[in-house]
Amino acid sequence: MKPLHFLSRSTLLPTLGILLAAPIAALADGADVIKFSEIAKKHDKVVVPIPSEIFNVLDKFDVTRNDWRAELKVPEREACKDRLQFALFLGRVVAEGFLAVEAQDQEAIRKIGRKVLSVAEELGLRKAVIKHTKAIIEEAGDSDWNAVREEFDATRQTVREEMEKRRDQDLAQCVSVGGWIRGTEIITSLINHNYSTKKSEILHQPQLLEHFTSTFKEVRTFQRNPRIKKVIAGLDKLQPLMTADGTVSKERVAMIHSISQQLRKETLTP
Amino acid sequence: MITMHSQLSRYRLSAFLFTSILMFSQAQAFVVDALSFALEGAEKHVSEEGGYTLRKDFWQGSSESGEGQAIKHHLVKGNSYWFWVGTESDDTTMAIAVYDKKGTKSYEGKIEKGPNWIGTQVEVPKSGTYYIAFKITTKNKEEAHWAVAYAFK
Repeated sequence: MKPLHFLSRSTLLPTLGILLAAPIAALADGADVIKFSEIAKKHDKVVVPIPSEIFNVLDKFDVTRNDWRAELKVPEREACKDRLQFALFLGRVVAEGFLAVEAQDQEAIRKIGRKVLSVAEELGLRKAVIKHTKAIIEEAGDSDWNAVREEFDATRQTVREEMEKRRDQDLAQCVSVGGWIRGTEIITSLINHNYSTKKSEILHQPQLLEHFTSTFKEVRTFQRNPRIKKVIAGLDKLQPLMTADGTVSKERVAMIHSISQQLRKETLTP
Repeated sequence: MITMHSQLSRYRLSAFLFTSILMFSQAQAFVVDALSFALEGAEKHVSEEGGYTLRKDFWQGSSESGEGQAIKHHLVKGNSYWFWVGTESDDTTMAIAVYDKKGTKSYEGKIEKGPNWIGTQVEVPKSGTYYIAFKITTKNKEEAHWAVAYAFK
């Protein structure tokens, strides 16, 4: 092996010149900077935050375990009429799971874990989901709340992937919106109890609403389903309340809560 | 083209990458490489010490050398985010920025770089949609395969 000093002065200088020139040239042509006008391709669909991202922010607010417990509504029945209804319901049940984690309610988590499995079975997803529900129940027994939360995230993700594999993207959207509606109902209830502009800021979701609304309006089969029609009508009502610039006032939070609560009763309950 | 994928837990990442390389086509192997580089950037932040939670999804695609790409993302105020872009291409210059929906202001904070990845940290002033913009300029002007991952805390 040649030592590092094998280069003579005559070859060293040009070599150094080349080595230095490359990054300088890159800097000069702006390769290390990206301007907004340079964006040639934009991904059409907005990346929706996972529930843990939202709950991570809520963890920083002064919400007590009892506050979360007061919101918990473990669904008892699961006799849905069709797959769309099951998918909406599954989204709601998973959202309830996140709430049960915040409430640190082991019994509720166990019930919800079992409920997730039975609803997933109706959608032909038992095999894919069972590993998550087992883990949820085990980790709840160990009071490992972060792990339970991660497992609910993983459940939601597995369900979406499996549905997409089976070209059931529309059902995957139903699971997402079911979770989002219930999540919005829970969050607005908590903000209403102890309002602050800092908390209500989380409800400013313009493009998220647009994403859900346009997606649901595009799907033809959705337009014939009375339950989905109600979801679309509800999203239309929520849009101006959650997309306007400025502070989301206490009155607006109350309106968002009322609409999402109504939506949960009419569309996410068997 | 930009597509979204999911990945296994980071603890099982090595096995996932190994199996993927064996099973996938060459193009898919590029993506696995790109993802592994993005996660190389993520490593210290998603450790117990770093405290960030890695989302088990990633976004992948390919782009011409120097072509700007962007992923539209709803970011929540109150969270601190890290985004990483990895590429299998060597000898590249990479750029990353976070823009609001109008593109009038960029919000990226600290930027970190490795040989095949670039990452930026961001805390947005208000919840809403932002563009995670990036550009990979290759020395030989060939297209680059890339993957984007992110974490939050």
